[in-house]
Amino acid sequence: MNQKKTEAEFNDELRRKFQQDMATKNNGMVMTKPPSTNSKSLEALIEDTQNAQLVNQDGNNYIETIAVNLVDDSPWQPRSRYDEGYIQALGEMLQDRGQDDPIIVRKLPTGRFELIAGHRRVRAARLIGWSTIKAQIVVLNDRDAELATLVSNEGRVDLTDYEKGLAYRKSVDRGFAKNQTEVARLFGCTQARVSQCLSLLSLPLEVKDILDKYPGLFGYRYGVVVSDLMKEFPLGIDTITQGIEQLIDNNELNSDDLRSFVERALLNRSRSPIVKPTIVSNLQGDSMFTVKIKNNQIVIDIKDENIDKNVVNSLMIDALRNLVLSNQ
Amino acid sequence: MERKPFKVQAVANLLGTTVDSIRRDTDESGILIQRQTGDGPKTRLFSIENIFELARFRAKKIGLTPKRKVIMTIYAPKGGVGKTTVASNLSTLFPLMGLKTLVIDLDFQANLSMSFGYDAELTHEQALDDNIPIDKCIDYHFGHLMPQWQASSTPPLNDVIKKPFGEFGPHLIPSEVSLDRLEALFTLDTIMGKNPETTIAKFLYEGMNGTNPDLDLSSYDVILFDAPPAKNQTTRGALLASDYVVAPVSMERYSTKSVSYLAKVLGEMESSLGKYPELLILGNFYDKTRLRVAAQVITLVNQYKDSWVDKSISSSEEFKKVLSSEDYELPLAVAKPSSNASVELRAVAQALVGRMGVL
Repeated sequence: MNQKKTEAEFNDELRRKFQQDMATKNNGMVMTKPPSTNSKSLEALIEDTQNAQLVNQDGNNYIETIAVNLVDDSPWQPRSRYDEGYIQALGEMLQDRGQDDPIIVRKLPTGRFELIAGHRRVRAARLIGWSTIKAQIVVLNDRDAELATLVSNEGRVDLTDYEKGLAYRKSVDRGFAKNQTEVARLFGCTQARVSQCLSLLSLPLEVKDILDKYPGLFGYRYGVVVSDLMKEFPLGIDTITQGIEQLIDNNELNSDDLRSFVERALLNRSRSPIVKPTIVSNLQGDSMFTVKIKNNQIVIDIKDENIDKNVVNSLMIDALRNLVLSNQ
Repeated sequence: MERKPFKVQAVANLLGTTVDSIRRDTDESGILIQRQTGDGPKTRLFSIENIFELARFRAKKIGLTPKRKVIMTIYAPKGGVGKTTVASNLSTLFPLMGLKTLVIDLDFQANLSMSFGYDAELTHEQALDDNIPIDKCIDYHFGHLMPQWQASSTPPLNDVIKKPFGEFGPHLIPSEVSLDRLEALFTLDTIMGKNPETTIAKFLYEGMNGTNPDLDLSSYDVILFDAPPAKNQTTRGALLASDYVVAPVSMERYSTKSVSYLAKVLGEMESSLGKYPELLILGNFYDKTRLRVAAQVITLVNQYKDSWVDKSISSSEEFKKVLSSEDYELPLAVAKPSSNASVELRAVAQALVGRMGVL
């Protein structure tokens, strides 16, 4: 029987077919389900991202290759001189082996980078013409950057005693440490070492001027001798600095050489030349007086007992008065 | 441009109440309403601003307090599914329900801003020449509020926010063509190793907490993004900040598939950050008489039972009329309060507010 379906019946039938199909086949399309776990709150998201940033800073795991010409020295770097020979050797090593450790920098708002550690490696890289360098980029504020620079450079080799002393002093001045014990903990050394290096800073200005120019000229042991000499010869600063300056040309000299140089110069000068007394004798050749200049005194010895001391005294006074008057 | 005033019946429709209670509440509120001039009955003539003020008054009177504040994004990867239409109508209907609403236009084409009567290309000079209020010009957009925007200073929020229907209507952060630079700035941040994806989330979090006094968004009950169809960083940022994503689907195959793409995006957000908006699917331009439509609906309902919003919007000539009208500056929900489409829009707004747990 050819029963004609109405349009509506036809549609209904199709709809039923679709409903059966669709329930299982998703209309022939891959349909991804939305997530079904609970979303975290906006607050939790913000907190987590901020924590993640902190972890990034602490973990220091952000290493990049940056342009050498964008790297600036740290204003807090304690090293004042760079040994050219060392930089050259370092450059050769970089060329041969490549860069083992990344330098440490922080990013400035200007887009440039400020060194925390690696001042010599950057100089070596410039010397051998590298345009880029591997750097660990850390996020630090000024104060933390200052501390990091002080501490990291101290820990590396061949910072001189004087430069270490300056760094220790700075850490106290800037409030990173309150006393020598705290400085020692901060820099990871003994308190005795802190004390030794700091002692160089109490040398007289004239000596520190030399150290500012040649921070590696001498260490704390030599410094002890310098301050001992200063105590022995309070007026001998010129001689002492002369002695120290000899080191600049001859670094084989030691503190004993300094001591003997200073003693030779200053002890000789203070031993006044033997002044022979002037003898005043009578016609018979008998000594009547001996006159001797001793520092600011004129000592007159009266040899003859018959001479009236009062007469000699008044004669001397008259003579001195005349001298004074004639000078006016 | 003079807007046509509203009579009491239209206001009653918009506020979902009776003519009598509109009259009573109006007198009680003391809001000054214009009366018809001439010899006829002195009928009340409500301006659109009057209606929103009355809505706020009624909300206060019954002690309406939202249970929670929500951030939502209207988004679907597919174009032409009615995102902007939904966004402009919802952001108009929420304040009528007594909710303080901020809508943010994230599409540089600025269609949402236009639907509220703003012209992105209108310059101050032109406005002066043509005697158009300067307020109709768009000077700032959402990008100006982001830290990435390279300006000497962030403009005050008050200079950015537009209030097309007065203080008590929806507040709007409009858009204009230069908003797309924000995407480039986000990309730059990504290249520089920063994570711009949480920028918008952070902005909203601080804004809603009131921790940033210059960008205080704490008074809003609903913040709504109108996102462009692009799958870019700006959209992702808005989604990440949102509690809900409302995806309008028009009833055709591509649109259905686009929901699947969106679900995938949400899945990625879940696995990478653990934060994603809950998906709500809104049937739009639904044509009950078409068979293929039925098939699409069944597919969607089967696959996304939990996300399906059980109110939908029928296909209607009214939308097209409003979009092509000369005085295109009111969303349909207020332009034609008694039309079938408006009734459906109000039902959708109600359903969403209930679903999101706001009221």
